[in-house]
Amino acid sequence: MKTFIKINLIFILFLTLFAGKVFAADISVSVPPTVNVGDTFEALINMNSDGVPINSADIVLNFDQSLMSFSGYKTDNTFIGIWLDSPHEKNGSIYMSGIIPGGVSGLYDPSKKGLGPIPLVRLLFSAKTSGNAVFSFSKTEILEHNGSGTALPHSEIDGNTVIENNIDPKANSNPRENILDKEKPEPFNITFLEASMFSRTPSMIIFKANDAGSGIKEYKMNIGGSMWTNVQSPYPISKVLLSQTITIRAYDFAGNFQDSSITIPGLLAPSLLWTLLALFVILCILCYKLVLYKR
Amino acid sequence: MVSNTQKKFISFSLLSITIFFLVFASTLYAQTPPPVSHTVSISASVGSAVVIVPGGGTSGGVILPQTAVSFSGYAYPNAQVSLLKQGELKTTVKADSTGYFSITLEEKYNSNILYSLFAQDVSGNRSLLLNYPMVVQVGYITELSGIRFAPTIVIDKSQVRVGDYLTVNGYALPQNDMEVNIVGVANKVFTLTSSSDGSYKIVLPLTDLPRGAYSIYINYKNDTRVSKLIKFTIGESNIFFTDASSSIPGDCNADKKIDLIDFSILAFWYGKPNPPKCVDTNGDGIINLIDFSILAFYWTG
Repeated sequence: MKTFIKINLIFILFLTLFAGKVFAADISVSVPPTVNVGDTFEALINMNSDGVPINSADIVLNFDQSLMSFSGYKTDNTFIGIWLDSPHEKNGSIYMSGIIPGGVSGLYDPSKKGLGPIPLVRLLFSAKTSGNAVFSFSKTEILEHNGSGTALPHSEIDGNTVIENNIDPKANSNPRENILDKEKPEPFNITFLEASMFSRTPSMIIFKANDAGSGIKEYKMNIGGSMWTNVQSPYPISKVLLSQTITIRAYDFAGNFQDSSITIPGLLAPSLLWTLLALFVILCILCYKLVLYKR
Repeated sequence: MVSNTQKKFISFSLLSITIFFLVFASTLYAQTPPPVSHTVSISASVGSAVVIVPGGGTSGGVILPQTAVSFSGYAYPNAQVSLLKQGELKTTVKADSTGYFSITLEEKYNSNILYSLFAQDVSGNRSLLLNYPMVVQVGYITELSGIRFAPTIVIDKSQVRVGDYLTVNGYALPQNDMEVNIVGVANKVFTLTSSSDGSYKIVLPLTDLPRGAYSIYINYKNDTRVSKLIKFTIGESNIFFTDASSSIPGDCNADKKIDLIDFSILAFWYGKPNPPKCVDTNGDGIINLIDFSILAFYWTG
């Protein structure tokens, strides 16, 4: 009897451990099998939704900070269209969430049968020290494109790469050359949204820059030559009496930046302002004359 | 006679099997993708040769095979079908009287590119976006055929008085069988056939549906591709849609579009308490990824 109970417990444990393999959909991270210290390499996050249309993803990917550092991300050849939270690093984890407007079911490739997995984003890492570098998911929320935001059941496939200390001078003398970002982000626009257009939402500026090389890391704002402050889009901004010029600076992960400016009209139109000023001057002159007359 | 030991063994085995089915079988059934009655097929053929003259050159040119992507299928009779590349409008064509359309776009590089299509019927009603992420290879014409847009749908009321009627109309392919689905507190399905010009109009009796919130959508019979979902309620009085209101969740500025402006409004309220009703697309009182997913479903750009 005890033998039978042991066998059944092992059976249940076996099923529990392999529960993740039961789902047809999966999210995976692909990295090169080996890289050298000093290399910058890509970790591609792929989503195989098994033909089910999806449109949103919220992902947290863990990595070993002692072996590598996060260097940015690339969006070309990938399909997250708008970032709610663009890839950024915090305490050894990469946080990111975004949407694919219109949803996708898979990648159409005429050279292959059926739909391929959807490349979501390519993360860039720099190898610092030799060792076995593991990439593992601690959160993956994938929502279906069905108008209700239903979560798609799926499994997670982690990845790992071996970082080697290759000091052969002939081997790829400047491996960072291919991925090092030297271009500044693309030009972008700033849009001002009036508060009256929608209830309780204040007036805001919205902006969205793109950078093919290493992705947008952060934005800073400057109003009329004041100090630069960190901001995110959308950013609430109120109209003041006079017009104001706002400059947004988009930085990529390599430190390159691109500026864009917008002038927000003041509450007072310039003609009204001049009229008020003229009236004020006339009033002052009249008061002065009155005082002189009384004397 | 079954001994106690055997009884215990049988009980334990039944328990193990029950746990197995409770934990795993439900997910196995849940993950089966829905069948799609229409099939989109993709193929690639070598492009014909074109001459490309390099910039600044004075003589000769480089002969390269043509690279292009081609989309074909059915929308609505005389519909405007637009093609976007990475969210940017590239071209618009007019479907013929049967609803057939075909679009070809020249390309230059090897790449994974997101192509999107939407159709606008003769009344100006838009379909949902159809996205096709594709692998483009230089020297090939990649063709995606068999595309079919779900019918368009418009309703006349945002709230229907209990026991009253709801008028539904739109465009579809001519002489096609369709199903109008009402889901919510109770569910109901109505069937109809589009006319010879693709238009349809039906007045639905909602007499046996109780008060509450509902969604309505339409699809071709046996097709899982559905139209946009329109929300309405059954309540005390009739409330008709006006130009100042919008039936699209998340369309707070009522411009009948869902674009970056609507996304930014939602992003402002992300994680904040007491969001405005128009921003809270699923009405659960919080703005989270689900609201953005619903916004992405209705995206027009």
